[in-house]
Amino acid sequence: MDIAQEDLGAGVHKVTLNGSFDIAGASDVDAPFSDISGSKDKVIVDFSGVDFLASIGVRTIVKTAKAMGARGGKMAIVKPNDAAKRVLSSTGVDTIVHVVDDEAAALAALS
Amino acid sequence: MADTLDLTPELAEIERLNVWYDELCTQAALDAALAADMKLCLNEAVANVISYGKISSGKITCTISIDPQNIEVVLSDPGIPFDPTEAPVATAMDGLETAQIGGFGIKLIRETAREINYRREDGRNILTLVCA
Repeated sequence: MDIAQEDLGAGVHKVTLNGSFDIAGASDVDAPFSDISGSKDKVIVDFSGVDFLASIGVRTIVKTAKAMGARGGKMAIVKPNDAAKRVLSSTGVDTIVHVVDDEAAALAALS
Repeated sequence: MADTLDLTPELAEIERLNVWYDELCTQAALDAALAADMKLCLNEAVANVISYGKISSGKITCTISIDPQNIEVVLSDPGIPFDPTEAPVATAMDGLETAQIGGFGIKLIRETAREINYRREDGRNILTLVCA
């Protein structure tokens, strides 16, 4: 899975993922997410390029969100496809991370 | 018609499984939502077998049958007996305090598959999953 990162200003960090968040995908992004969990306070994760989300991907997201939350940080996931949205909802990830359909809503949730 | 793939019990094999699976679904022109549902079940079931099955020797065999309305997967593994239809299911997270890192595989399979059948036969777990 490909990962791109950019700072949007006002302390907001954007992470864009492309590919499958399966076992191989999670191992590709675990290290960058670990860095993010220790250094960023407001993170938007753009899921529009994620074509598949398995529970191993949930693990990466939850680990990051927990570490960020312990520091008072917040995360928002933007534009997951329907299948990914079901996984996020079924596992309850949407109770610890904002799950929204556009970046404006994400920015509002993090402010 | 059924297609079969043998996997060694290593997590890296799931990538090969997914490439094979995606190609089968494309060839069969399977509905994308249906293909995605089974891909989730397959990834969770195989990851469980590899991670917790304590397989000392032998392979995991995955057999897939696709028709326009449904897809069936039969997973056979030589791991310790494990019945996903009887296993306890993780509770969904409800806020950061109760957030747990893992344990959602069986929950996702049970919520996604239309049918789940398990039997133990000749020292192997045989799990049949249907998405329709």
